[in-house]
Amino acid sequence: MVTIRRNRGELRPEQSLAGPVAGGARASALRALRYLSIFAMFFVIYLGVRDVVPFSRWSVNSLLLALLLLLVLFLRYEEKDFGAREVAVVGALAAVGAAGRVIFAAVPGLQPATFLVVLSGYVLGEESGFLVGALIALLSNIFLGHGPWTPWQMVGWGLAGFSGGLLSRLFRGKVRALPLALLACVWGFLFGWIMNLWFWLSFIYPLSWASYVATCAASFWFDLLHATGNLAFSLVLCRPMAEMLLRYRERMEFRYLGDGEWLRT
Amino acid sequence: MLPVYRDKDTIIHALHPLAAILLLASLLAAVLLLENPLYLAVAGAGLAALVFLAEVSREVRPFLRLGLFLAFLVLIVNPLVNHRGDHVLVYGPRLPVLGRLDVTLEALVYGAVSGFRLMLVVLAFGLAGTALNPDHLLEVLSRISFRSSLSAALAVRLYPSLVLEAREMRDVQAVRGERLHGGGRWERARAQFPFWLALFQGSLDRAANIAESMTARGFGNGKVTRIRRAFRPRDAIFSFLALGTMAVAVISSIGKSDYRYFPALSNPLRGTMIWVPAVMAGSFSILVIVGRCWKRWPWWRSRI
Amino acid sequence: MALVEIENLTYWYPRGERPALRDVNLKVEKGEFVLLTGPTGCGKTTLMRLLNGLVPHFHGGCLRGKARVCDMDVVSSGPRPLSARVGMVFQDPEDQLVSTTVEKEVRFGLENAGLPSPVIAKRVEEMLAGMGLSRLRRSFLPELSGGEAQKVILASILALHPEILVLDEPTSQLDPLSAEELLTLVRRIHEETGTTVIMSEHRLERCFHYASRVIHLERGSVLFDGTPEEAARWWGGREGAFLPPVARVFARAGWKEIPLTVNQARLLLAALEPGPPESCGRPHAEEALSGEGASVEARDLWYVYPAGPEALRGIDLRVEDKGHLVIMGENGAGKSTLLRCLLGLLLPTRGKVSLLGWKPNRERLPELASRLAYCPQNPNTYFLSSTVRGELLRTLRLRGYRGADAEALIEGQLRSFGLEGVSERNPRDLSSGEKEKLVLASSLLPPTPELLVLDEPTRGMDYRSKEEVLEILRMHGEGGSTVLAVTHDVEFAANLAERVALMGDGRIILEGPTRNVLSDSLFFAPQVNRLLNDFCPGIIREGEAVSILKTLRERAEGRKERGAETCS
Repeated sequence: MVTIRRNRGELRPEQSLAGPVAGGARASALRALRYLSIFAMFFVIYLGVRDVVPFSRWSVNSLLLALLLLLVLFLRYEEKDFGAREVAVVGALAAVGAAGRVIFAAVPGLQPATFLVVLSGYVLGEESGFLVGALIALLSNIFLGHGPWTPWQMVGWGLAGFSGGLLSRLFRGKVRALPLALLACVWGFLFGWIMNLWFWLSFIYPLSWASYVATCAASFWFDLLHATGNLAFSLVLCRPMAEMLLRYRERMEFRYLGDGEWLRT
Repeated sequence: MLPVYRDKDTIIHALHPLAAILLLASLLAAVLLLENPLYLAVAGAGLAALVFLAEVSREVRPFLRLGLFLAFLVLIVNPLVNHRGDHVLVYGPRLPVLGRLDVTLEALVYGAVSGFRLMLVVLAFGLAGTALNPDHLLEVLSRISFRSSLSAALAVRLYPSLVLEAREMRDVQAVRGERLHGGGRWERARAQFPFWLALFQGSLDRAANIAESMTARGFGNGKVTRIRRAFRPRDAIFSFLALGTMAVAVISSIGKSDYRYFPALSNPLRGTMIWVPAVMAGSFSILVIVGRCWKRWPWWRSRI
Repeated sequence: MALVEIENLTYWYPRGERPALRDVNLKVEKGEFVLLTGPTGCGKTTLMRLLNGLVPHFHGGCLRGKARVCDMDVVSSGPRPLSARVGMVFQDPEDQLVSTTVEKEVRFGLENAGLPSPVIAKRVEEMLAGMGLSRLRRSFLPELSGGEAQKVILASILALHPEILVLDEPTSQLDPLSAEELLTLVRRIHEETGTTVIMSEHRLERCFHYASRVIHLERGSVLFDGTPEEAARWWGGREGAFLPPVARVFARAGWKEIPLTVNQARLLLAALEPGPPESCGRPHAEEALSGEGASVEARDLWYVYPAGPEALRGIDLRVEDKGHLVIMGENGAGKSTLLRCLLGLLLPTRGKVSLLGWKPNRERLPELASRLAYCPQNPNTYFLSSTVRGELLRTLRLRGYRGADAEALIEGQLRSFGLEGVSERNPRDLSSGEKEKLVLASSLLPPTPELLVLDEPTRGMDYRSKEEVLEILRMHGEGGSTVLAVTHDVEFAANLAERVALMGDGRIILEGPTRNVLSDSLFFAPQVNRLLNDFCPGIIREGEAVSILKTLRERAEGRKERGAETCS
C-alpha cells in the first residue's frame, strides 16, 4: 500500500527557500470574493424559491448558480498559491483527459476522463482535482462543441475531482483502489444526473419529481455504461496511475553539506 | 470535429473580451427570459445578424445542425411528459406513475418554442466559440485567477501535441502487432489500457519538464505584471447596447408575461410589451450599422 | 570577479548512487563562449542546472562545495532571483512553452519578473523584431515548427536581458537547417551583445571553432578545460568523439596539426604536394543488387490530404530484397507521408503499394508483425511498458512467440545491445541513444524481421551513440534484412545505404547509388566529401577519408625524411 504524506506545503520544492508566501492582501481579497460568491449563491436560490422574477426562471437561475459555484471553486484554487509543479501537472492532466475524451468519443461510456479526474483529486487534493475536471470540460468542448452544457459539465467533473480529494481525507491519504473505483463508479451516475438536471431545468415543463425521474430513466442505460466503464478503468489503472502521480508529487528535498562531510552512498 | 477559433477582420473579433462577454450574456438573457415567440424570433434575428457581422456563418453551421437535432429532441420529449392544455390532439394510454399520456396542441407548441430556444442558445455558444478569441478570454480570467488561467493555457497548448502523439502511438503499435480493431467492447477497452498509462506517464514527465522551465523563468510567488487591453469606444458602444438588451429582457420578465401557453395559446401579435422587440431590434440594428461601417471606412475604424 | 565561480562542488541527485558532479572547479569570465562536451550522463546538464539554481532547489539532492553566479550564492538565493540573470534554454521546445501564442510566451518571464508594463511592451517588440518573429506574433504555438518554437524560447529568455545564456543541447530536436539557423543566431547574440554563453551541443561543426573555451566532462568531473585548438590536440590520436567531423578525421589519421574547419583543412592540404595518393583512384562503386525481388514497391503513388495539399505526386520507388535504401529531403517534402503510405497507415489516393508481397492496410498489419519492424521518429511512442525488459517481452508476445526460453532470449538481446545495465529502468528515462538502441533491440528480436523501417533514427544523438547504432545496423544487414530509412543525417545515410532517394515537393527528385547522389552536392554532401573533393572526388565515408589522410600524412612524412636524408 502506498502512502501519501498529506501536507499542503509539501508539493512545493521550488519554494523551499523562497521565503514566506507573499501577497497576503491578495489572498484575503480572494477569500472575501469567495465568501461573497457563496452568499450570492444562497441569495439566488432564496430568490428562486420565493418566486422573484427573473430568478424564478430556473433555466436562468441554474446557469447563474452553476457559474457562481465554478467561481467559488476557482477562487479556492487561487487561494492556495500553488507552485510551478502543481500548475503544470494540472494543465497536463487536463490535456490528457481532454485528448482521451475527444479521441475515444466514438465509444460511449468507455473513456477514462471521469476516473482520471477522481484520481487527480485523490492524489493532488480537492482544488487541483476540481481544476483538472473543469478544464477537461472546457478544453474538450473546444473540439466537441461548446454549448449551454459546458458550465454543467465543468461543475460535474469539477465536483468529481473535488470529491476525490475529500475521499482521500477519509483514508488519510492511503491509496485504496476499491473505494476509488466505487467513487468513480458512483460518479458515472452522478455526472449523468447533473447533466439531466440542466436539461430538466432548462427544457422540461412542468418541473416535478416525476418529470426529473423520467429524464433520469431515459438516460439510465447510458449512465450505467459510463459507470461500469469507470469501474473497469479504475480497477485496472488505479494502482499504476496512482504510483506515477505519487512519484510526481514527491517532494524533492535538498541538503547542503557546506564544506564538510562527504555523502556516503 | 467542430471548427475552432480563427482570427478574422471583423468588429466582433476585435472586441475587448469584456464587451464580448457582455454581448454573449445579453443574448443568453434575451433568449432564456423572453416568453413571447415573436420576441424570441426578434432575438433570434439579432443573433443571426451578429453571426453575419462576425462572418462566421460557415463555421457555426455544425452548431446549427446540433441545435436543430436537440430542438427536435425537446419537441418530441415535451408533449410526452407535459399533458396540460385544452386542445388534445391524440388521446394516449393511462400509465401508473405518469398519468394519462395525452398529446396537446399547447404542449406541442411549447415544445417547439423550447426547442427553438435551445437552438438559439447553442447557436449563441457557437458564435462565442468561433468569434471570441479564447486567448483573450483567458487574459480576462487571469486578472482574477492567475494560476488557473496558466493551467488552462498550458492544457490548450499541450492538447494538440498530445493528440498527435496518441495517434502516432496507435500507428506504431499497430505495426508492432497490437490489435486495436475488432473484438468486443471489453477487448477494445483492454487494448487501450497500456496506451493510457503511456500517455499519462508521458504527460507527467512533460509536466515536470515544463515546471522546471517555468521555475527557470521566474515563476513563483511575488509581484506579477498582468496584461491590460485597451477599452475602446466600440467596446463601450457594444457594452452599452448589450446592457440595454439585458435590462429590457429582465424588466419584461418581471410581472405577468404578456404571453401564455396554457391552458390555451394566446396570440403572439396581441402582446402588450411591444417596446421589448422594438428596443432589441433598435440596438441590434445599431450594432450592425456600427459593425458594417467599421469594416468599410478605415477612418471610422480608427476613430472608434 | 568572475561571473561564475564554482569551488570543489560535488552534487548527488536524490536517490543518486554516485555524484552527478564530482569536485568541480570552474571559473567563467564575462563575455566568454564556453562549450561543454561529454558523453550522455556526464553531468553537463546538471552543471548547467546549477547555474540558475534548479540544482539543488528544483531537483533536490545533496550538495557540497561553493557556487556563486552573478555575485549571488546559488544555494542561499534560489532560482527566482537568478532567473533574471541566467537564462536557460533546454533541449525540447515542447517541454518549455507555457503559453498559447508567441507574444505571450515572450511576455511570460517579463511578467513573472514584475517589470512595469511599458518596459514589457518595449522588450517584447525588441525581441520579436530582433529575432525575426514579428510575423508569427499571434501564431498558436503548437502550430510552429520545432525550429521556430526554439527561437521563440530563445527570444523569451533573451527578453529578460540575462547576463549568462545557458543552452542545453538546444538543437537536438531540430532538423539540420533549423539547427544551423539557431546556432548562427546564438553566435550573433554573443558577438553583438557580449552576453556570456555556456552551451552543450553535439552539432560541433557549427560552434566548436567559435567557442573561446571547451570544457570536457566525464562521469561528473572536468577532464579538460582549454581552447578549442588545445582540445583538438588533446584528442589527437584518439577516437575524437567530441570533435567536429573534420577535426576528427585528422585526429584519427594521426595528424599533428588538427584543423577545426573545412577551410583550415583545405589550406593544410593545399600546402602538401599536389596529386592524389596512389591508393585513391575513383572509389569503386558498390555492386548493385541483382533484382531478385522487391520488399517494398510503390508505383505511381499519390496522396492528397482531405481538403489539403498534394503530399505525394506520383512516387515510383523500389527497395530490393536485402537492400538498404535511405530517403532524404527537406521538411515537408513528403517523407513521412510516403512512409505512412508504404506501411499501410495511410490509404494512397492513387497508385499501388506492395509491402512484402502484400497490399498493406491498417487492419491487417498485426499479421505482418513478425516480418516487419518499424522504429518511429519519437521512440516514446514505441514504449508501452514500465521496464526495458518488459518492452522486449511485449514484442515477443505480440509476435506470437510461445517458446519457454523467452527469458534467455531477452537476456541475450540485452547483452548484445549493451542494455543489460538498464534492463529494469523505465524506457522513457533512458538517453536518446539508449532509447533508439532499445527500439532496435526490440525490433530485431527473433524471428528477425524481413524489413526494417527507420524514421530519423539518429535524432538527438551524439557521435558515439550514432556509431553504435550504425554498428548494430551493419551487423544486422549481414543477417539479411531489407532496411528502409528516412533521415536528415547525411553522414548516417552515407554509412548505411547503398542507394539514396532524394525527395522534394512530393516527388522523388533523384534516386541512385549513395556515392553518386551524395557527392558533388553543396548541402547534401557529407563534410568529408567537401573536404577531399579536390584530392579524390567521391569520398563520402569517414573511414575512407581517414585512410586517405593517413596515406597523405605518411607520404608527407616520408618525403620529409627523404628530404632530410638528401640534405645530410
